[in-house]
Amino acid sequence: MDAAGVDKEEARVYALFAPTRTNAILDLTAVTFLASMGIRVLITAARTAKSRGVRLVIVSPPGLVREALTNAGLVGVLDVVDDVASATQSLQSGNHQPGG
Amino acid sequence: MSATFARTIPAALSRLGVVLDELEAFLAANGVDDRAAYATQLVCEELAANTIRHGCDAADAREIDLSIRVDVGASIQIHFEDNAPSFDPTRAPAPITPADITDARIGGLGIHLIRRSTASFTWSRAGDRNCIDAVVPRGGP
Repeated sequence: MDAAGVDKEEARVYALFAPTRTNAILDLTAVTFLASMGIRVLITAARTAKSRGVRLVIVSPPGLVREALTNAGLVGVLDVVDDVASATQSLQSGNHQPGG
Repeated sequence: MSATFARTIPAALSRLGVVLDELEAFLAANGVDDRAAYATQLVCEELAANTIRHGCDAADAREIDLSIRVDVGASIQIHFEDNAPSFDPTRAPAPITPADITDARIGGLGIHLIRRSTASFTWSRAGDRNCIDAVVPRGGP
């Protein structure tokens, strides 16, 4: 998610919350690059989720993209887990990580 | 032994994407480790995107261009230039670590990421151009 590619993904991310007020999982496993423009989308999405009273769990396995989130100071603020199974379990158990 | 990548383009996101893809291939072809390659791409992306988003707001009708040069040697030397209005990103304040998502600031994040990715990050003004030099260590940081 770089500056040139973020516009294509931004609408898809925000659409997660458009139809219903449901929790969402955003899987970044296939994302190989995350710049500030992409991080901006994640922040806005998490704020949207919080304002609607739902949860957004972000899947970001350990690696360089996860480190970008850490360097941005957001791992303790966004609800970030290592894999989809953990995200699903978190939502089912109601285990609410930081972010709201 | 060193290798150099250099491109000058108009300040447009569509052109930037192509250059960053070429940069990624250049870094891989020259054996740059994944972490240093990621940091180099991030620095170039953030500097160029900043110019495109903010530097093109000038009231005058100048065409804004930007240049990226990356020298791969014992470390990775990045030299970035644009002819946008004078702006020193190294003086931008560090963002405050947010306690909650509602506190998370979006502005200034790119410059913060550059600082976290580089061993040095300096700015100067030469004529009508902003000149930024940054160093990314190989095998780190």
